[in-house]
Amino acid sequence: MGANGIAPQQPTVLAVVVAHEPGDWFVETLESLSLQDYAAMGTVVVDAASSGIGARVSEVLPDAAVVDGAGTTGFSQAANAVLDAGIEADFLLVCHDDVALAPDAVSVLVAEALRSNAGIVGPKIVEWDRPEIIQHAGYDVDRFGVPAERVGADELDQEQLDGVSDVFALPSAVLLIRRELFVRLGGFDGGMTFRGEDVDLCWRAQMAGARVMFVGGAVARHREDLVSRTGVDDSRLTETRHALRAMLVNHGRISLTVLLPVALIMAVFEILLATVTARLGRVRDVIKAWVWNISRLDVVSQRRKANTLVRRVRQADVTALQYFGSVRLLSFLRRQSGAESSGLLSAAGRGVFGGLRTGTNRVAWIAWIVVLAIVLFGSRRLLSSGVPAVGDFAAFPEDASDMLRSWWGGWSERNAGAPSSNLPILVYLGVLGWVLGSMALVRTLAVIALMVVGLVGSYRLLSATGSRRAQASTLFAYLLVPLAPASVASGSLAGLVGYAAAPWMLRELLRASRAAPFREGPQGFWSHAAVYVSLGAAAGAAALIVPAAAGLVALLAAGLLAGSLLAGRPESVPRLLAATALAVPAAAFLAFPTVVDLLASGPDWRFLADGRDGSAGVVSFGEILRFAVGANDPGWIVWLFALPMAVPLLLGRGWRLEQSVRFWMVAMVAWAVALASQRGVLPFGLPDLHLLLAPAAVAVAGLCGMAVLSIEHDLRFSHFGWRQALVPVTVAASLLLAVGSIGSLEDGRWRLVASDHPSALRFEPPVLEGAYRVLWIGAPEFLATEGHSLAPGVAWAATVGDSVTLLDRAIPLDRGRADLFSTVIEEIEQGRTARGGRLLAGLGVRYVVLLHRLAPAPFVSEEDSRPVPADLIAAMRDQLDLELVEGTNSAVDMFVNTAWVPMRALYPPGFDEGIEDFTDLEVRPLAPGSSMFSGDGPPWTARIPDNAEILISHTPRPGWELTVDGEPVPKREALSWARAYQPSEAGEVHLSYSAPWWRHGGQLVGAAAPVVLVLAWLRRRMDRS
Amino acid sequence: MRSMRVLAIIAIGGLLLAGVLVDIPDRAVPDRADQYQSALVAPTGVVNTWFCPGGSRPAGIAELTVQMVNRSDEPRTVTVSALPGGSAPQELSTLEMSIEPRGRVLLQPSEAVPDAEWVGVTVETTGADVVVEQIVTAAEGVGRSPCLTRTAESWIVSNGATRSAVEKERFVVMLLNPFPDVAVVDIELVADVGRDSIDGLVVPAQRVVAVDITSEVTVASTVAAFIDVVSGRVAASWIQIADGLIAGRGIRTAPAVPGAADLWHLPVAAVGADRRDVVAVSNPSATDTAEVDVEILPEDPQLDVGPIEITVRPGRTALIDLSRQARLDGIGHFSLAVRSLTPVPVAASITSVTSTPADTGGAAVVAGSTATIGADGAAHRWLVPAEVRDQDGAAVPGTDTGSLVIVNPSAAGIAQADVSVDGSLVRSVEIGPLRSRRLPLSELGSGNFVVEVDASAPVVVGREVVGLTSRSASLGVAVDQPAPIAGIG
Repeated sequence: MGANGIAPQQPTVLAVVVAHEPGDWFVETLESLSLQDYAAMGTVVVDAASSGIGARVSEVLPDAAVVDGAGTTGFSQAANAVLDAGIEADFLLVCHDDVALAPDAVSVLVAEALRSNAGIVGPKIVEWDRPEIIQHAGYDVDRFGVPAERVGADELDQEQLDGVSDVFALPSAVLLIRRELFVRLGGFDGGMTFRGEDVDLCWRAQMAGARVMFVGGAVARHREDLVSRTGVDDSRLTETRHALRAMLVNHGRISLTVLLPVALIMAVFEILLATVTARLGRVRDVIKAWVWNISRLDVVSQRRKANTLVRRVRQADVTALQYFGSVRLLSFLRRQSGAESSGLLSAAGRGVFGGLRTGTNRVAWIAWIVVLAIVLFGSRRLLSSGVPAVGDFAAFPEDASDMLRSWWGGWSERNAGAPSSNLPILVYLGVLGWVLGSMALVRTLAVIALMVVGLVGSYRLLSATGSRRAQASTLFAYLLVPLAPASVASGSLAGLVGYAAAPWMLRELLRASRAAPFREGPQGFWSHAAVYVSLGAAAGAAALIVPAAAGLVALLAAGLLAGSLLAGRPESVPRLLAATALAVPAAAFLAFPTVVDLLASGPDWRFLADGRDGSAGVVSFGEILRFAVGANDPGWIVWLFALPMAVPLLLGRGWRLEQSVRFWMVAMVAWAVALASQRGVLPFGLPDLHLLLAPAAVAVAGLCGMAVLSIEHDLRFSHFGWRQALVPVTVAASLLLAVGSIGSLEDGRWRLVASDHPSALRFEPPVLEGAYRVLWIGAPEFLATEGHSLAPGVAWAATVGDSVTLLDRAIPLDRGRADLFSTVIEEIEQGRTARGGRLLAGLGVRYVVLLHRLAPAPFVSEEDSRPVPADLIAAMRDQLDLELVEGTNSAVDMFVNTAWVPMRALYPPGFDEGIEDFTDLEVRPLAPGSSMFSGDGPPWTARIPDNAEILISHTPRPGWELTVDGEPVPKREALSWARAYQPSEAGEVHLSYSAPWWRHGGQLVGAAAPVVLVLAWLRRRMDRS
Repeated sequence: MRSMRVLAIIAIGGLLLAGVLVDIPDRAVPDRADQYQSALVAPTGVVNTWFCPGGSRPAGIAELTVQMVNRSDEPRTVTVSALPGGSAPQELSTLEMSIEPRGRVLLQPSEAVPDAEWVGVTVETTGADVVVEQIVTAAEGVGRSPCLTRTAESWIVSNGATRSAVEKERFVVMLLNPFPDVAVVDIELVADVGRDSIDGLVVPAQRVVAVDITSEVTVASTVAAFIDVVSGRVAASWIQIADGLIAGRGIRTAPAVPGAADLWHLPVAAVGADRRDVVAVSNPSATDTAEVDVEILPEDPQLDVGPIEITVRPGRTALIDLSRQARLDGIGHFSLAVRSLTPVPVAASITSVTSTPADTGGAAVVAGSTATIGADGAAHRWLVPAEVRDQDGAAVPGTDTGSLVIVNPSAAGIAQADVSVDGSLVRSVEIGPLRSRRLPLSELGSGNFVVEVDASAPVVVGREVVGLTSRSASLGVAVDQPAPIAGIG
């Protein structure tokens, strides 16, 4: 019997080929049918385009029938045309016109359909031109009707899918369906022109109790090039539209009631995401999909009724076969997490959760679950009680609008006041606070988030190696390196930012070095540019919070540079230098306009040093190596890191050894700089020690990852000996490290103290008696704001009001009249005045607080104190107008200035007569004026009487204006530094500050910069997917 | 690959070793400016504050007068705050006045607080060239000393006496609290008759408190007071009155010593038939014994006198009666250095009682008693208020008119000192290592004047003023930042 004949003793098969102006390949399609070894088979070709292909068909398959598909739209209607043709066959082999079946495909499919009593069976579909690549192996389908491929992108056919398995759906390219079932189901949904009709058909077949099976033994090649044939790329639209239709039609009432709102929310989310990433086509597709379905609710209703006639299986049983979550959401998240992005759910083609079931991925997931559990457990008290305002962890303003107002206002009251270049981080924190409804919660989350960001970065550090175990090892090591707990315990925001940023910076620098294995992807201008932008973005993002953190790039690059030279890879040196230099524009873009401001006002290293003057510290080299800095000493156990760190150096070969040498040198450079800062050998101060050690921390973690890689790849090349013994010893050391680090989890706050200075100090509310400043003196690490060096290990800062918040960390464009504070403090310290209070009163200082410890006693013991020098304390106590507040905590000395006058006050005209110089205040103290403008501001409003002058004690700068009933008021210099406004009459006065328009423009650009970069990154990710 | 591995291991190991080696030496000590503070350093700020712990009202035992001398050619404004003491409620009173160029103002602050039994003074002066002294006047004589320029948390008064019945001695410690918050003071009294203490003595804000030790420790020929300010800071001085056969007749006042040191210089010392100088060395340590040498620094460079070796037990005061030291006979004028040989700092002062001899031999000898605290710092520039006057206002040749003593505490270098009065150089003297030089005040000026000493090396300057009826001695006032004498080679 010929291929076109029908053998009566076998189940008959009718191949239904839906053709639409096929190209030359069509001959091959027809020939593949003619060559089938299945005897009882006939062929019908549906000429969907009515293009007269009968001659082409008869040339290859003379016995094949050709059905005119005129009037049909799309594949489904064309395929359904056979329903009206009165064809008698046991099975229908529905085919596209661009498939070519293996000669035994039909016989294998029929045999399996009979053996398994399947309703629909489908072959393994491979690529037309690359038959070694599997294209489809059936679909998993979620409850929203979205299919997920069961194979990865470009997955090689290695007979891994040659078995038989139940699937939820099969592609319509080739599927064998029992004719009776096809008829009962009414064929394909005619409304689904292309794409999604196969899912719908199989879904309904499942409802009807039919098995849908993938038969790996049958093979078909498939061109799958519909878009180029039709010239219209409506794949996203049709996929979305038809998935929604399938969901609406095939779910039961209860499940649809639950799922429809979820689908709607997801659609809104997708629209939002597409909007912010400027994918308006996607927005249009989603909206059109919903509109299309809503406009056809009558059809949906009809088809739901028809389904009731078909249904043989409980809805719950069908739903149980579907993926519980959202394929679309999962694929998005997987792309963002760096998993294979070219396949929808592609992890080895093992279904939706296939990626999780592979050994290495399981390691990664378990590692993450454990790490996040540890972070959450270690942070439990922080989450429940909040983060005390210790060290850099300044409180946030209670109201989110204060954050936004301060950012926009562009004025910082810190010290003597100065225009500020508020970083856009305030905007984002403010918006987040507004969304969450609690700034305190934002603050707590920010601290924890910085740790998590660092951990994510550490996990990604070695992603180019392809070893999940190495990544997991790096992740665990970075968690165990005691830098993050030390930073939290010391209230070191700089340390946490360094912890968060260093892994990302190191990764981008490694990519920029193009040293193996970081030569991923095509090498070209844009890929290089992307690396530079990523590096700059990491630096800029860190600088948004702690400007000095951007300098980590230089530190890391220096280490890699030294490592490259030591590893005999000098070709990396120019690349690293270029990357460091070319990252600057992106970093500057993120830090705009602050970077412009800093350049305009002249680089000021002291600003980065945060009040440190280069004098020697107290941390020894051993403590530096152990990260035992600040308030947290992790103990001897940290020395155990030496074992895994040594492993890649001893075992590694090739690029693993080279990268290990680089990591070692990164650590060495960081430790050397930290040692230099502690030895006091540099003529200038360096930033926080925690920040300096961040590169070392990530290098240590990276070496632990490299240890795993060396064991995985290089140990096998070694003869049996001490190297093998190194493995159990290293594992034991790592376990000991992990167990030994549990101690930092004990208190649930990473050993951060439970109380802070603000809770131990009592300041009068400014609104009661007038606005005032507080002068803080202590170790730079104890100050909540950037300090100014006063003496070795001592700095000062001045803040306004009874609280210190993040707003006080704004970056002033210049120092304003901060020099006056330095002058007064020096006068007091040198014993040249006993009336320091009068001088401080001229600056509005009401309180002087000497901080001897990071936090109040007993939360910080005396052993951990760094007291203000005794002679400075004595000098303060020698002041006749500074009253020591008795009974305050032993961690502080607090003085009240009995000569204080409000910063903003009403005076009679000529109130400062005779004060030619600021120091004249010592002889001619100011009389207390009537306080005004004591609330939050600027702006402020108040009423004044006739014949008065208004003293405003802050650095005079353009932009300040005082008006009476809307009319500007003349002003003059007062106290030789401040301003006195001279209203001519009584009325309502309004004091305000407005930054110039170009500064506001710069701030908007700065605020938009992170969004632009994030969107660009998202778009790139989505493009790659 | 192998060579790279070895090279890397060596390099990394070498760098770690280098780090360890670099970290072995002691850290660079933070280079803080020398903040040595003496109680008698004239402040050099825009406004300078002097603390005069004071005396009594006119009807009291030692009426207080404050003398302010302007040594500049510009008028100076001073703000005087009279701080009351005693049980009567009285508020601080402040007055502002001007002092003429090269002028002198005497002020009786009790007039500003008439109801106060005791009165202290703070004087705030513009400019660094006003010197403030407190003068206490009693029936027994007149005592004077520069006011203090600092407050402190501990004070030591080494040598007082309370034999009120026989010697009519009265010993009063004056505590002045110029600050806006109260001070609380503990005083431990160590006398030859036993110990006593006054705990929790409150010195109210901007008040003075006179502690009459006579009523606390009676009939003590020697009593030392260790003052510990447990809260706040105070300035302290003391007044000793005596009128007896042993103690002589006179009144002396001096600042208390603000702390202990390893080395003190006592510029003014002498021995003589009618003069009894007693050095008091106090050891404030509660546990350690101090071995102390009292070194003699004679004016004559050819003389070399061995030190007087003493042991001072913890918490005790040792007295050395120089008149009983045979080795001092005939050496002329000298100064003293009190050096603790053990690492136990001590406090030193000297009192001197001069009595009128039966036969004055034609020369007028003024009886009286003086007290001088030691100097633990030396400076290049000093101011010394001086007075040379007889009944007609001029010095009589051949009489003891007082003297200026300049001591070179350096063991190595020679100090060249220029002595000026009213801006005019009067004398220029050279002082050898560990030597002193005494200049009669009558050779420097007459009446009330201020001596300025400008030396090429840090020196210690003291003075002894002999008035018409009484004597007084004190250190000068250093007008540049002194250096600790112990650190001078």
